Amino acid sequence: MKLLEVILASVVFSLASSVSLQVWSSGARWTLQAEEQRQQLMALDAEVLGLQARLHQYRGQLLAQNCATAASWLAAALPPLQADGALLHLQVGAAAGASRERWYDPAALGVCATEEALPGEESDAATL
Amino acid sequence: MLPLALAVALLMALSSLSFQALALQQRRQLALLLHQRQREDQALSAAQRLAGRLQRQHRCLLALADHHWPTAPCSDLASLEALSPEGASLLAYQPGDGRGELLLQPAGAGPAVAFALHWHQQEGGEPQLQRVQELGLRGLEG
Repeated sequence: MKLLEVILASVVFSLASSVSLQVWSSGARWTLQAEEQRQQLMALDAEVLGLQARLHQYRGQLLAQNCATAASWLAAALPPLQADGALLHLQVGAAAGASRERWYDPAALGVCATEEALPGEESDAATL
Repeated sequence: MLPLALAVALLMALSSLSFQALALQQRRQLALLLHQRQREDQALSAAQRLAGRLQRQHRCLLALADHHWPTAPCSDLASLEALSPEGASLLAYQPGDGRGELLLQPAGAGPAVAFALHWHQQEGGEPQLQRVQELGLRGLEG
């Protein structure tokens, strides 16, 4: 009876230790991954805010009459911004699975003076 | 000896499950944070598009509250419909001294987001937009 109890206790203890170790191991792995992702998110935040601050340095300066020209100029000056017609497109973190995407309009920064509507916008600029 | 082994096994199971729950909670918080940032991006993009359209086509509206837009002489209903930004709806626009407060509701559930449109206006001229500033979330008290 005593021997059987010892054997049973050993088996229970071994099983519990083994399962617990596996759960702790996967939990630790998840925690490490979560920490890496948190740092990636913070880095993306810093990148987006830094770029926006640099973009705002140009506000109110007339870079071009035409907004598409101003967008191209800003995209060349501030990578990874990309010009898409008269708009600026920022996309970061896509490779890390935490994609951040923003659109900026040079006209909203006051860096271009065109009164032409973009494709898809109904223009009544002539009335202004 | 068996009761002691059972008690220790139970303790180990409980501690490892607690740790697992903590790790899951961290992942959930990160997913929520990313979703929140993406929503902010969506709102800012919508504000930029709307501000750009106002600057290009309807500068006179910058100095008018949104409920006056349909009767403004420089605009018409058809062109006002084209003002609507993608990914968000316009809740309100209230001009002040050299700036206007824009309230947008991003698509999906959640609070509205406020922006300040800063402009410069010379004597007798139309307002000239200079920047769009994020003011933060609104309507959280509801």
